[in-house]
Amino acid sequence: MKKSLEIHDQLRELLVENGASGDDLDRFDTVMSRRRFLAGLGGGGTALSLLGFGAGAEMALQGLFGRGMIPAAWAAEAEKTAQIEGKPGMIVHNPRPVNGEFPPHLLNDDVTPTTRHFVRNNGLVPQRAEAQNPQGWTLAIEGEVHRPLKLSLEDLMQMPSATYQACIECGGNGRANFNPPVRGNPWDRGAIGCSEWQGVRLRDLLQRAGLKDSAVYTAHDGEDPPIGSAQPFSRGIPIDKAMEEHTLIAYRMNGKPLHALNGYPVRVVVPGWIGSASQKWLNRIRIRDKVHDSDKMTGYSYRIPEYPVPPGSRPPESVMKILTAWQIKSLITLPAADTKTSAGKRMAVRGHAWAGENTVDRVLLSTDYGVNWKAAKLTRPANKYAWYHFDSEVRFDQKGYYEIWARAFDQRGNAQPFRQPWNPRGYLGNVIHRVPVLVDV
Amino acid sequence: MSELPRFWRLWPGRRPVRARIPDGFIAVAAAALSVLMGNALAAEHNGKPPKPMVENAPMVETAPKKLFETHCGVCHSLELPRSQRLDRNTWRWVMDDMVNKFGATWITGKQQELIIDYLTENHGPQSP
Ligand code: HEC
Repeated sequence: MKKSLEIHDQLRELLVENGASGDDLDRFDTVMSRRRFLAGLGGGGTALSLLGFGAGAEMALQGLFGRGMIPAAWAAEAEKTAQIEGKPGMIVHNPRPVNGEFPPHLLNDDVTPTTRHFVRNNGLVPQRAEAQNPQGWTLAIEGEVHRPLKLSLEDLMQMPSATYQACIECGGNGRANFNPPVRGNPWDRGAIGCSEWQGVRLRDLLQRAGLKDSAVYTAHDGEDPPIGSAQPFSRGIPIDKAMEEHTLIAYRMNGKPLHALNGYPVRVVVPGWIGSASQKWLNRIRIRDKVHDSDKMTGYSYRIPEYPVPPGSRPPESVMKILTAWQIKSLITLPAADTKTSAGKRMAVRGHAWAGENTVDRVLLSTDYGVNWKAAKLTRPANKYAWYHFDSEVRFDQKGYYEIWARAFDQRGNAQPFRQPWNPRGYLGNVIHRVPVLVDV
Repeated sequence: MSELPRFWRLWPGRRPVRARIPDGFIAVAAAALSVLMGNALAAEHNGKPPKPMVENAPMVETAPKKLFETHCGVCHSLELPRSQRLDRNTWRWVMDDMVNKFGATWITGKQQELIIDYLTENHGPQSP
């Protein structure tokens, strides 16, 4: 019984701290006294099972409350909403953990402003990030290295740095276009950003630490508290990619310290690869002597079958392989979906294209469901892994319903598909983007 | 949005719903209340409703929904499951992960089945 009183007090305190009105507190007390009344019926486990938690499961429940998990999550939520306000126009798929993207027409900038960079969180936002407080933060480099390192933010900032525009794209971007629908945040097309990142090259850090011959893979750890008893989020990359010159340990985004939701104070930036490689709120890199085997590297997480499978099926775990680079893709950022125009008027079409480890060769546009295509003007990217921009103009001679289609090709001749190939968790969606336009007389 | 989505649907795919961001405190209070009230309701559903409850106690029919709202909003917002359109097998797969991987071990087998039924019916592949 004592336990449930403590929970009551904790929750009540939380409500008071968050400015609950007298009415709200009354309601809360009423519910709680009902709960106490129920608890009074039996003792211990019986009470909990009456409360819907099932006999014998009370340990799990007490574990959660005891760790302060639930109150902490709610508290973090209260703070977090203020941060989402720093991302006006974001489509929030769910607020806890925060996951949000921007509609394509808000991604028209050549370099994605921080205010329009998507947010994909697996866990809660660390308090340090909310408070923008670098005190006590360190980055450890350990494992298969000769000289393990521990660096403060200042140490890191004193090292030579590099600045690149880099596409970071959630591996699940495009999931909403899978049929039949699959599990996970229903990203449409906006879980991509190409911002400017400044930081230390990971290879400089690894050279300083001295890689052992046994080094095979990195494992990244961050400060974000996991949810429930989920394993703390962690992924890694092969040493070759870690040594690639564009792979950064970044402390500036678009010239400023990182936004709380984009990884303050420091994150990995692995351009061209699925976003989960770019660990946020980084505080440790373990160099491993085998492929990293955390929860998010195994099973069905961030993995796809090594051969195409029938839509709706679930292939055995043994054929799932780790996702690495993104593939050829493009996004129409102008006009916005459902734009209205008049017959005979010119309409500007603009957007971006990117290709993971490849280069973009061309972007073709069609306004007649793919019967005729014309090449858009393509602007080269600022650096490898930044997105290309395309520009064109279209004109509709007759009233009607039209769709603008964009289809990008890489230098190997791979193009975006017309139908979305299917995999069980909805990764690497790159079906061509179609923007509807209504033309009147 | 105009009438266009009808055409749009000729091509498989759906657009994300613009979710309202709950006001900070309301979110906290609502979550607290829903868990606590939900637990009480879940108890009713468990078959041993203590008689002298509040007069306007909701009907038992709402229990699966309540079970869902109680247990599936503890760790993350309910928008996460509500944004899904999954068949029964996939919902079962999700449930197994929530229980076995992420720690929702307090949800009993019976409750899991009721929640899976509820989700399949209300958040299935054909749901809007
Ligand atoms: C003990 C904590 C916990 C509870 C309770 C819980 N979940 Fe989850 N849920 C998680 C975690 C952790 C994730 C993964 C978050 C991530 O990595 O983005 C998740 C993700 C999800 C997802 C989206 C991604 C996926 O894995 O498919 C769905 C859908 C979901 N949960 C549904 C449910 C449902 C339905 C319930 C109620 C039966 C539930 N959850 C209860 C912890 C929980």
